[in-house]
Amino acid sequence: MLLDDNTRGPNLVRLRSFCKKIIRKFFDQATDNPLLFIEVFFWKNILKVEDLALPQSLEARRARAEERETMRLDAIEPEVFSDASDDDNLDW
Amino acid sequence: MVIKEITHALYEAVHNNDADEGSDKPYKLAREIFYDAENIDLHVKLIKLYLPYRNTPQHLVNLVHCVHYSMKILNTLAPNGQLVVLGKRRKKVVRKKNPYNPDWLVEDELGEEINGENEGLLRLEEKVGNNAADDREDDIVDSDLKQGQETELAQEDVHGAELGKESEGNTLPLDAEAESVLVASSTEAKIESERNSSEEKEEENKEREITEAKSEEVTEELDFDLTIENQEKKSEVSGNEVKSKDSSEEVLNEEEGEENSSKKKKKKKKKSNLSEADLALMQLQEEDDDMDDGYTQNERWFNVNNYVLPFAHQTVIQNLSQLLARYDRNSAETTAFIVHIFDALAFEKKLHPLFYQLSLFQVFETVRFFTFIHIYFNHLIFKCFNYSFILLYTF
Repeated sequence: MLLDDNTRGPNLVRLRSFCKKIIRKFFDQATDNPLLFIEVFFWKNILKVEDLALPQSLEARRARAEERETMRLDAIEPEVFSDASDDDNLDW
Repeated sequence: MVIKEITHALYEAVHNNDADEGSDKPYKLAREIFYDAENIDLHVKLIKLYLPYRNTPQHLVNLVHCVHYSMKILNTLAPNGQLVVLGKRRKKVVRKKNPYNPDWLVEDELGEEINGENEGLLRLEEKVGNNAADDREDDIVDSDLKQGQETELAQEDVHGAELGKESEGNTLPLDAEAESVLVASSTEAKIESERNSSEEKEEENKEREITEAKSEEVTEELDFDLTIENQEKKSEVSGNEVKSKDSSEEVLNEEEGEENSSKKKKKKKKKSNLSEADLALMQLQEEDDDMDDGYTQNERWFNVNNYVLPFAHQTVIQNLSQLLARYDRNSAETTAFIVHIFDALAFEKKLHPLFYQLSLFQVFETVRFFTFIHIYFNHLIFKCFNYSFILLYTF
């Protein structure tokens, strides 16, 4: 497509520009994250695409998951250590 | 093909209508078509169902045209970007009322139920008071009947003795005897009448008892299918019936009322076991059940820019890229429309990593392109070095 000179015409200029934009973005990101060269072999889910496009979203999601786990553990702990918690509550 | 032409015609009608300021019919038609969320997602579903060697490429081309025109129509319909749309239809699940499952018994809030039960209890107390007064009357009647029966028995013996005397003797009765016979006959008539009346009453009572027993059985069966309110109504109805009937039935109805109260208590216990979350769920289910046509209908806001989001799927991009690869055989419109969709996905929605795919790079011929550039630059550098060396040697 990019090698073809017929794409240089006015009808297919947008197609050519789109291809160039995508490739430029890919190589810009691949310099920071070389694992993208392996990601090329697989079809991606929309969630994975969001993670690749915005690495901040991935970090935020991880933070949210950690918060959820801590909340869950806090909820479970008094049930598990019910005998110990009674003694602790007496100190209050 | 037909869908493509219809959408194209609709798009042209809507745009020309804006220019001419004519009737709002095409606008309304478009609004009705895109009011349903299922119609908006129809094109994506059809593109997903496209099979490369089963369907013709023209079919996919038509679908792409439809998508492009529908995007434009949506933009004209909602210049602000927001459109009110009917939510996706969800088939209502009809739940059978299981008599052994107490969950469906909870219909109203707890406060109302308690008030209702209190009312029922008050009614029961009133009934008990009325029945107590009726019971006294019953006792009086029973005592009269008993006295009558006792006198009857005593007089029967006398009468039987007299009859025996008559049958034995076949003699004319004496004056004293005649008097006694007359008295006996008079008493006999009275007793017979009384007996008949008492027998009739007893028979009637027996019949009513049987019918009531049957009705109780029926009500016990039906109670599983009825709510508490209905039960209260039934108790009211039964109370009204009781007043019309004899006093002997009211005693039985008292028992019924007691049974009802015991059932209510049992139900109350069951309700107390249910949590508040279950109650909320039940309320939601009731709200869902109130909807008509067997479907739930929910209007919601639809962002027109999110129309492209369902296209961010593996099969859709695969099919469209295969169509894009044969750009030399397609018309300029189709390639432009496909690029329009891809542009919206990659740069408006910032999903450009979706296109980091080796098969797509092969379509773009980037590998060959970059190898070509690489060789070209190497050649240039080599040439430059050569020239530099030549220059160095020269100077």
